[in-house]
Amino acid sequence: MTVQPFHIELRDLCKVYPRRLGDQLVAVARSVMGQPAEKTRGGVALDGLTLTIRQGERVGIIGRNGAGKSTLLQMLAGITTPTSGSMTVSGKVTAVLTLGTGLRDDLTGRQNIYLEGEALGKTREQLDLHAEAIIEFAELGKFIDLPLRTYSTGMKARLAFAMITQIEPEILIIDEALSVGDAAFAVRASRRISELCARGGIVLIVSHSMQSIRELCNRCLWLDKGRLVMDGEPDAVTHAYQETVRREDEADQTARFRSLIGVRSHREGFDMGPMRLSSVGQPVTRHVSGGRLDVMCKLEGPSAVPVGYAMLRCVRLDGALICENRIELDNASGAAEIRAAYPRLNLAPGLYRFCLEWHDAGDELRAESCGVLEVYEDEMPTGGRPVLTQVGVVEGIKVKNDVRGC
Amino acid sequence: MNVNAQTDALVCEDVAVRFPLTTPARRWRLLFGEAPDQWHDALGGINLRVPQGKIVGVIGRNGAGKSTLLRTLAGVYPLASGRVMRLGPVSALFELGGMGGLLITGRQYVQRWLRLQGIPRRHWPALIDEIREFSELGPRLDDRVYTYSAGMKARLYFSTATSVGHDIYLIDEVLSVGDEHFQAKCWKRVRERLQGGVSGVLVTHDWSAILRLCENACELEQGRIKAFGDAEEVICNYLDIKAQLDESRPAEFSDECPESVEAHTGGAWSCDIPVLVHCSAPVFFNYSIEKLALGRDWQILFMGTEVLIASEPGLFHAHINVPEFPLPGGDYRLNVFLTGARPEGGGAKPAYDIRSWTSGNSIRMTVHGARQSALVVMPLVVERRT
Repeated sequence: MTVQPFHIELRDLCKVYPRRLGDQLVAVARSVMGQPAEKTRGGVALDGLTLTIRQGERVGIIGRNGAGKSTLLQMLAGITTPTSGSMTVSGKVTAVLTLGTGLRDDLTGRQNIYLEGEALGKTREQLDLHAEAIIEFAELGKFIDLPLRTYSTGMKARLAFAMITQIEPEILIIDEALSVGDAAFAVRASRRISELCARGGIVLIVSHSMQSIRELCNRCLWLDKGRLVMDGEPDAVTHAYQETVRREDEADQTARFRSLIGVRSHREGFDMGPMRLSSVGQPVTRHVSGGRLDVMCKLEGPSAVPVGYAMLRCVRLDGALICENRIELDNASGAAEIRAAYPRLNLAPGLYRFCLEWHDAGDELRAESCGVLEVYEDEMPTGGRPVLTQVGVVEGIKVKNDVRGC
Repeated sequence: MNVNAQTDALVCEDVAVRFPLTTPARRWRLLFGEAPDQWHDALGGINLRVPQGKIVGVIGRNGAGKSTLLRTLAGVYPLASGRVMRLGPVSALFELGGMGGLLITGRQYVQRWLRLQGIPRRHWPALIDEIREFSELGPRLDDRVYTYSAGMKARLYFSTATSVGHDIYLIDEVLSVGDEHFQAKCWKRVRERLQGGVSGVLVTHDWSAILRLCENACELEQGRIKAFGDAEEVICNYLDIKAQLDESRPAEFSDECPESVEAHTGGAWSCDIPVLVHCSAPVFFNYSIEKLALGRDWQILFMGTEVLIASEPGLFHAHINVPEFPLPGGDYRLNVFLTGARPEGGGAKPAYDIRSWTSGNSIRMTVHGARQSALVVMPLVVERRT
């Protein structure tokens, strides 16, 4: 294998945090006796991670809370040590794990820049140039000569980011840093990161913002419970991740939603059959947006039922009432059946609950029957989540030729 | 300004907050009441009134003084002048945690918080169970806080702080804790709490959150209120979308563009939007119809797909045709957009012109028909009733 200027190599990396005092005592005892630490006790933050990062890579790391993202970065930054496994890092690591650490609150922004520069062994002349560039990039205005404790979180983040990127780091680690600045700053920050990588540096970013991962990175790692789930192009990985999160959430909500399915009788003697949703004679739970949907339900009451009506309601997963239709029941005596159809149900993709409520003339509920339908569409609409799809058509018509040119 | 305890929850009168700027060597002098060399004016002339049952939104760029304002309202900072009146118990949902260090367990943290809030002990078990479930910490609740990941801490703090309902909420970007899944849960919970008739102040970068929760909002700039009023107007000003339009204006909506349009529920509807094209470049048109109920809801009801309407100079009509108009009676916004082709090197499509509520010039739409609580009207054919 050829040796590369900057690279990171992790082999079977594990990190276990002791949770109880007993775990800690065992860990200390084992290390005193020279035995390797065991993985079975405590909370596992990283569980056998193996990967190689080469120069010029901008790696985004995503995953749900507690996936081990922060632990990995802390380990690379040397703040914490692996429980087992090996880690080779060639190149100087600069980490921004919590923005603003290492900055002194009682000094002004300018003094902080000089302090940091001197700590890095720069000369006064170098520093003067350096400071100008940082101040210009951070755009703090008059605040640069005010003490740091007067800064807001976003302003500290801007200063820290400007200082870090100005020193030309070889391996830069950023944890959720870009989300604090406003939109205008985020654009300049991402440009600066691309420049660093073009010069051969490595950048590792942890973020919950898929947007910034897609814009900044050229490789993306997805961690879950300390393991690497996926490694590849940011577009593909972030979409797969979002899809999984969405599916898990929906499964969770669906379970709750499904508990609302079924028949409930609210008054003695009144009952309904299960709601049947069908398309072209076949029972369905999935529906293509824009197609016809048939609804059928049986009603059972005492032999002489007074006049009433049924209300068919469609509710979206988030609780929004999408549409309702009233069906008059004039002579429903004993057993009755409702058959109705939406000729063109063009709801946007999502999960919906259909509920048929049987009321008497005085609006009092006799019984209800509910079912769930998932609507999908081959082509997902872009730029927002509307309620309906395929509503109107637009065409361009030329009216006049003589209009002023550019 | 008169304070009315019946109708106001939080009143801020001509509030100024300033911080002394001094050197460490001279700091001791402050103790003897000596004036510092310099003051930093963090907030000045803030007049804000939060009516009962309303949430007021605060938007602004980094360093505008948003967090300072919230801390001032919570009583963290002394006032240089003016006064703040809190007419009810306040729950501050910002800078969560910071109580008891990291050596205590999650459960101990929750217990301390409940004790501080003066919750009777008989309610604790139920509340702790609820917090454990909402935070998804499960058995980890009995581990010490220092073993938690950053996200787990955020979940613990948020779940605890919102476990009990309060009268007045001060909220700072809480909706951005944790991963996407937890954010959605936080959002839902804040909404539930806020719908229970509470009052508060919401500070955020996310304008859509303000739109959904607040009728009124203000924009802060350099410690001063730059604009206060209707949330929609304040957000339009803040977004300043017109400044992002392509300056050479290769295409634009003509002055004859209607200011308002009308439609009938279930009827055929068509509309012509005049577009002036000055260049021989492709021009795309799109539209959306939205319902905007400030402080309650914002829904995109339906939208078109992007259509190429012109590729040469001239006056064009973008003709929208809806055979059966699917919305119930009420007021809506028709937003129309003109964009160019995506540049070859990738990137965003250039925006040529916009008429939208986000730019303050949407086309008002009135639909005649029965009003109803459902969002849309969906035709249903009843085939058999017996």
